[in-house]
Amino acid sequence: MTQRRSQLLEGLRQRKYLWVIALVVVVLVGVYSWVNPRGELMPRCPFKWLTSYDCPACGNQRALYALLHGDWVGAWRYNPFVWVAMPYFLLVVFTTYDPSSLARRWRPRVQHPKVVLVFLAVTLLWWVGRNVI
Amino acid sequence: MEVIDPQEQQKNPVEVNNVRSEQTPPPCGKPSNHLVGAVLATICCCLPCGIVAIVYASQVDTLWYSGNYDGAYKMSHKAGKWMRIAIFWPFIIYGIAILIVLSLGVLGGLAGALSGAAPTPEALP
Repeated sequence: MTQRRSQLLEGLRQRKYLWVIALVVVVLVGVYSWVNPRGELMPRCPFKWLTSYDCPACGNQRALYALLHGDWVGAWRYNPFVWVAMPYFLLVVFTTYDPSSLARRWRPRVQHPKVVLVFLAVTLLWWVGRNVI
Repeated sequence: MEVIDPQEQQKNPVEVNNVRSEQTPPPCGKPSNHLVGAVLATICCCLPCGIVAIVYASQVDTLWYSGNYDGAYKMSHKAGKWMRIAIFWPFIIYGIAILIVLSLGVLGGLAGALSGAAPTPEALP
């Protein structure tokens, strides 16, 4: 085994969070390539069931289904917020679990209290806004 | 001029405004700030508990790097607690709802089967 390949494997071994993300992606792509969330068996939102208002993530199953079937407009329309929130969430995961120096340098800025509170404010505005408009 | 109570000074000799005077961190290391779980909980699961978790989680690192190790541990504990509530509470509610629906369905089926089980005399020739 060459040195570069063993370094690559060692890098992957240190980054176990990538395996979790890969598993989740495989499951999501596998499920939503075939199953339409409008069917009866898909998970429903407890908040919507209780109060009939949308939670911030409502529509993300339909958005993912649309994305996997080429419907870009629908993928944005069903839940625009999740396409903004998911990259930030992946950044938080990266800066928390990745052992590289890049992750350690980015962490104080990505996980800065003000950035987190801005994210929280955007989430709240989206939650209230999508129910009002 | 501030009056220092000598008995109180004996109880808390180094803590002034909850900041320890020594700057060496405890050997247990920096506590996890649970931000990953808090952000996930806020986006997907439970917004009220997720908000609480994310507010606490955002402060853990600041407290730790400013020397307030005790406060950082407490804040991390609080963030972890609310994150677990935010992630598991919807599953519990959902599970109870499914149980209620299932039991109503089973009861309804039983009632229907019991009421329709007795044969009517008119059916016989």
